[in-house]
Order: sequence, then structure tokens, then C-alpha cells
Amino acid sequence: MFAIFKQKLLKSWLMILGWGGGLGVLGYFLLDIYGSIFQQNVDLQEYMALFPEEFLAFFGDADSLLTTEGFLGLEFFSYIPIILGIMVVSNASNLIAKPEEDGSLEIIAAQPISRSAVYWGKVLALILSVFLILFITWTGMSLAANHVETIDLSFLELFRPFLSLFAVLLVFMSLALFLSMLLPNGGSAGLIAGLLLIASYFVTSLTRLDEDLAAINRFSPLKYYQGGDAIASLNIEYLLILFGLTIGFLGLGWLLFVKRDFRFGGSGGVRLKLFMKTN
Amino acid sequence: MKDAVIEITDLHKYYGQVHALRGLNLSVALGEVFGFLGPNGAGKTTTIRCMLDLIRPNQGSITIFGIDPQDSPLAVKALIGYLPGDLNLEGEFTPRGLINYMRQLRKDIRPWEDLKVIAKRIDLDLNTKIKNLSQGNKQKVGFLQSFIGNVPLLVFDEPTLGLDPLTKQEVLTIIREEADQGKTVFFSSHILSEVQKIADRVGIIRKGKLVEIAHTVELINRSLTQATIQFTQPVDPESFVHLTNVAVLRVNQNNHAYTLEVTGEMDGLIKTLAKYPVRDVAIHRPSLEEVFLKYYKDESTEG
Repeated sequence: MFAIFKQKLLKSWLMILGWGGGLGVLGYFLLDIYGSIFQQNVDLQEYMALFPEEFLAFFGDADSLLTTEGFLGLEFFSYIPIILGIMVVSNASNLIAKPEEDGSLEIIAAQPISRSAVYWGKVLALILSVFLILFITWTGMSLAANHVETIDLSFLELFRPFLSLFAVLLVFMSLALFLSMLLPNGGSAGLIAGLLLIASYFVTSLTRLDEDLAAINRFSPLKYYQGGDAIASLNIEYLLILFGLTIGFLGLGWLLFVKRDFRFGGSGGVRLKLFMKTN
Repeated sequence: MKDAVIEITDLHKYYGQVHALRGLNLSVALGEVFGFLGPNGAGKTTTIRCMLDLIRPNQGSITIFGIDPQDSPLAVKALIGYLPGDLNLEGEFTPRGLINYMRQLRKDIRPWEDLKVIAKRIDLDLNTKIKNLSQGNKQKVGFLQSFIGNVPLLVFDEPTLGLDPLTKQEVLTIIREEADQGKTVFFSSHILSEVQKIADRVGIIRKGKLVEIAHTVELINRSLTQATIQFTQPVDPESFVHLTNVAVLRVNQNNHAYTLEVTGEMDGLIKTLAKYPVRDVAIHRPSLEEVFLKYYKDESTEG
């Protein structure tokens, strides 16, 4: 398993550096800019008053924009689950399904290694890749927090929203992976998981405007994502729900992978005719 | 079969509504080179993938060295070096990188030096990225990786696909050498001349069923043979009527020359010819290709 894990991780170095580096720089400059905004908070309050309340509520608690938590929540943690979520869903839905479908997994699977080793080796490498991307981003923000005088955030306080972000990304990663094991191909799994991510984002955001959606929102993974609020305190229960969902989806995906045929060139696999027209 | 390395019994495999294997029975002995023949879609690759537990049969059993691949897939795969038919390799690797990676996935491996010798023999550059290699060179990488393990059984699915004639020849020589060293070789192909060249026995699969299995030479011998006979004087066509395994295909106008088709033994024909003054006899033995085509011709007339 370690050889597969290592190879997959090495293959992902560009993705890790690209995403991590880019978001790290963004995070650094966001906090740097926050220092300047803090100096002009009166102007900013006037500026914020120009926006409709609903608009600001959609993206979070706008009243707290002048706090570091509120600022980071609105400017970074409110939309980053969508951006990183799409990246993670795309990677997870292709993690095993793509090499399986294009046949490149066949010579690996024919070696004396178990299917579980193939599955968990790749999954753990992707989980570590996501963690490293967030770690680099956190490092960028921490550096800025350390040098901007007006920011009073400890490394741990800044780490908490990243933990919440990590947990929610893992849910969508594992969901996409599970769907790629269930559906006839990785593309359809990515599409469905991506749509669920966006739906979850809108349901959770709109629930702030319409309380009637609260019943549906219970099923939205993003409800359990705290964003910038986690800087103040982390809801462990929410975190456990997200990790629980991840373990559930990963376990189901693993069961499907070890039980079913490999789908080289479209052979075998479970086909859901309700969703897909198969040939 | 005594000392059977591969034993397949009543194997069935469905892909949805498609019945890909329909009660396949097959046995391959220790140390033999077994050629598995059939056109595209006959079930060759499906059979091989079932042997490696990449896909699972719906019915029937397989044992490799007495081990069921479904019960102990790792034990079975540790005994097999495999070249897939639909070969696709990760393009970012160099052949050297891929081999190094795959060597980490096995315990009992051959020394790198052995692999370098094979790479040199098939003229494979180990340091160019796979994505920049031609299809033939990718096939060489696939062939080379099947020798990574110290294994007693080599399974090749269309081993010479896309290779130039010289490399093809070298690949067949290497396969034969491996067999001579005691390894069992199971390979599928639809290129009959190469099967004929190296296979000890041949199995012909048609629509998921084995329709023929025999020693290569025996299979060719037992099939139709064409004999062209020239006599120094006219011979009555009725002279051959009593030979049940001989059919007269052509006779020239003055009954001096005959083209006959013989099924199986030639003994009766030769004894009959001995009664007449023969000028020349030409025997044409069918190639494996002709034998193979006969089976598929039979299929089309059945249908």
C-alpha cells in the first residue's frame, strides 16, 4: 500500500504546490489588506451599509466584518469550500475510476497487492494532498497574522476554521469517490457530486434568509461547516458529523471496490439505469 | 490433467445481458506454451482477467497451481507475470520509473540486470517518458514489466500487438526461451502464425466456448490436407470412391491430374495410389490459420 500511496502523492505535488501556494498567497494578502481596512473601519461601515441585508446574510454574518473572524469568514471561508470542493470532487471521482476505465490500473491490479491496498493507498494520498494544500494556505495566513499588528490571532485559532474546512472537503471527496464506485463511470460521479456540493452551498446559504429551509439544511454537509466562526470556537459535534460521513462514504466505496469487477474498458460495474443511458 | 497449472471448469461470465463465457473448460500443463486463439470478442481477455481475479466469474471454477484466484488472489498473482491486451501505461513515467515502481509491488523479483538484458534485446529505451513513446514501444514496456517477478507462469494477452516484425520475432524467441527454462506460458492471440511458431498446444475459443483443443501439430495434421497427384496415364475417378476420407476436388480433362482433399490419415490414399503409375505428388498441409478459419467458417454456416 505504501508504494501506491507514495506514487500517488508524488504525482500530486504540482496540485499541492499550485493550490496550496496560490491560496497561501491569497490568505497572506487578505490578512495584510485587513490591516489597512481596520484603520478605516468607519469608511467601511458606511460602504457596507450600501449592500442589501439579504446579500450580506447570504455570505455570512456581515455585522462582524470588522472583526478578523468576520472578515476572513466573508472574504475567504464563505466561498472556499466551493472552489476547493470542485477540485476535490474532480480528483476523487477520477482517483480510481479513471485509471480503471483507461486501463492503466490493470497492470497494477495484476500485481500481488490487494484491492484494499490500491484503494486505501490512493485515498490516503488524496487526503494528505488536501491536508497539505490547507496547511500551506494556513501557513500563508499565519505568517500574515504574525506580522500585521492589528490582528490578534493565535496559530491555533487560525487553524480551527481550516480543520472545519478540511472536514467538509473530505465529505465531498468521499462522496465523489463512493459515487465513482457505484456509477458506471467517474465523469457521472463527478457531475453528481459537484451538483450536490453546489446544492448544499445554496441550501445552507439561503437558510440564513429563509428559516423554512432549516429542515432540508439538516442534510446539507455545509450546515456543519463553520467557516470563520470556527476561529472563536470549534463545534466538535459538527466536526464529528463530517468525519462520520467521510468514514461512511469511504467505507461504502471500499466495499464496492473490493466486491465488484474492475471496469476495464467499461466491462462490469453497477449500472443505474435510472440515471444513465448505457450502451 | 496431471500437473495442471491452469484448470478452468465450466466457466460462465455475464456482462449484463451479454453471455461472454459459456461453460469454458480448459487445462494447461506445467511447462507448456499454450496458445489461446479466437477473434475479438470471443472471450480470451475475459478468461485471462478471471484467472487474475480482476473480474469474477458468475459460475464455474478456476485454479492456478491448485489455488482459487477468488479465495487467494494475492497468492495467485504472485505466481503470474502478466501483459494485458488493452495496455495503457501512465505516461509520466519513464519505462525505468515504471519498472522501479512496479518492483516495489512484488516481493520475489528478478534482478534489474535481467530486465536490462530483455530491454536491450527488444531495443527499448528505458529513459524516455512513456507518453512520448510509440505504440510499439509502449507494448515493449508492457512486455518487459511482465518479467519483473520471479514467476512460474507467464500470461500474455496479444503479446506482439503493434510490434515491428524484428521485435515480434525477438519477443517470440524470449517467450520460447522462458518456456524452455520450465515456465508455463499462456498467451492469447489472433495472429495465428506466431501461435503456430511457439505454442505446444492450442485452444480455439468461439463465442465463449472452447471449440477445439489439441497439440498444434496434431491439430494441423488432423485437418484437411490437399493432395495434387499427377499420373503418367489416365486414372478413373471411380478409383477413389471407396476412400471415405478422400474427396475429389478437381480432375483435368484427360484424367491425368487430380486435386484431392484428405481428412485425417493418408494411409488409404497412398495404398490406392500405389496401384497406379504416379508421376508426382504434392501435399499441401494447412496452416493453423486455415484450420482456425475453418472453425469460424463452420460458425458462419451454422448461423
